[in-house]
Amino acid sequence: MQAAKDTFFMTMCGRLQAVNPERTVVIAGETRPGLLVAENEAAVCSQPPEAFCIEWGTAQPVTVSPLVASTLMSVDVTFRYRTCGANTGDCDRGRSLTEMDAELMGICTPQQAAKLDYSQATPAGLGSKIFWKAPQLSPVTQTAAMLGRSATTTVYFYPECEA
Amino acid sequence: MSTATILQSQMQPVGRGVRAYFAAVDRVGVQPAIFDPAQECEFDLDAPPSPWIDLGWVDNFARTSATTVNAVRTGENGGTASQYRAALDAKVSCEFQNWGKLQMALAGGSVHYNVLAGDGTSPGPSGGRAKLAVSVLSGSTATQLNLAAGDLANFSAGDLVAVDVNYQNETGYIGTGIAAVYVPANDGIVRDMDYTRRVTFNVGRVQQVTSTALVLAEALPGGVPAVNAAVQKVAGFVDREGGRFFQEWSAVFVMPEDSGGRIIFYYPRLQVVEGAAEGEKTISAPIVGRTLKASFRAMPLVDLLDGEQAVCWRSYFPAVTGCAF
Repeated sequence: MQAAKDTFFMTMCGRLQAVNPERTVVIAGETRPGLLVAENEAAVCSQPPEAFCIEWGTAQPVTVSPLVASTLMSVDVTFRYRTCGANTGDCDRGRSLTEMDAELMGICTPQQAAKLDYSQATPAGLGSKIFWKAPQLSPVTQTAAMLGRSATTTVYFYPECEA
Repeated sequence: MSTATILQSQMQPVGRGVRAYFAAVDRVGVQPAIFDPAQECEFDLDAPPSPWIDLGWVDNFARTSATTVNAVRTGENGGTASQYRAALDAKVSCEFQNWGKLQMALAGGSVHYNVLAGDGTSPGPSGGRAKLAVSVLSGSTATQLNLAAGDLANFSAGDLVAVDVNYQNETGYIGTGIAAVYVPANDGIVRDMDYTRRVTFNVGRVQQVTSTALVLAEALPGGVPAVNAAVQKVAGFVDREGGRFFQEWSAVFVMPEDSGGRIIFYYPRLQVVEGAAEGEKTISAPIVGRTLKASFRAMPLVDLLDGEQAVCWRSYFPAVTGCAF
């Protein structure tokens, strides 16, 4: 499952750089595409503003096969994102959140990617694809300073083991 | 030495939806458009190879074989000695999610009319008398219509236009590049000079008006405008329940793969087999999307490979990592 998760994250990162190269986040002094995986970022605030934060959820088999490698699996994904707006909250938080909504829909299309093994220096193809449903956007949440929301989807994949 | 990953999981095609592509049949020569799976198996679904026209996603794609399989029986007990196929026949149906000139023509199946912008006189159910057409100048292409400066003022970006020659009592198949209707000889009907533009498939949306030309958003499906072609604004489209003409088109239906292989169905000759009807696809009740229901009879083509007659070719292109069996 790790390769599926890695592939999804790397695919989203690559597409975000194409859709909006200016959406970045600084973690420990390093500038990265504005997309984080919560479970990998224990040392930082789990949800910095102006960035997307991925949370992995329930994983389960979708079809039953006597071969594990032929069992289609699914894992739920939640994107969380919030914004202060370009003018520190004055007037344009809604517009700024709409831009993030559009970016999310953009990076989730097309809804598939070749699965790669990122555990080695040069990612290697694993011979199958991951694919996912269109994200479902939740209602907006609002604090005094920020506007945000979450969006959920489900990623499908075959387990990474020999057939 | 090279080693490949081979996976049983990649033997199951997994995907969502079906996409439809159509191409004109040469009605005079009875020559369908050929889909060659050896050359076009992995074509870009958003940019199909010529002459295929992308008609978008379709719902409720269904194939029905009506070919009968009969038995040759022998002996006292009438045991089956062999079988043979008779009355080669098949149907295919789908619902176009997108409405457009070609989708309507295919679903309606008969003559499909462009409603030419009218001059307000002589009302008619397929569109009354049209405003005067303006001549297309030489050097025009399938995406650029050169017009005289004075004529350009009659058009704006966003206009829908029909481009074809004036009708001058021709008979047989009418329409530049694509047979849009069949006009019988001596049928006694007086057709106006806009008739060819009323039926032509050379229709496009003006994306830009330059100082010399109309630039179209998409290439005219019938190709470069004929010499002496003229252009008129189109207000909309009309099809009719009735009429003698049958549209005939070649079709390719693709089941794209999210995982596993790609499935492609090639129908060299399709003619409509039911009248026009609409469907609904619920978006969020009570909001629905309107679909165009289409049902076709598959007509035969002889496969020159072995001389056999067939109506549909199903191709499967396994994933590169899928097992063969």
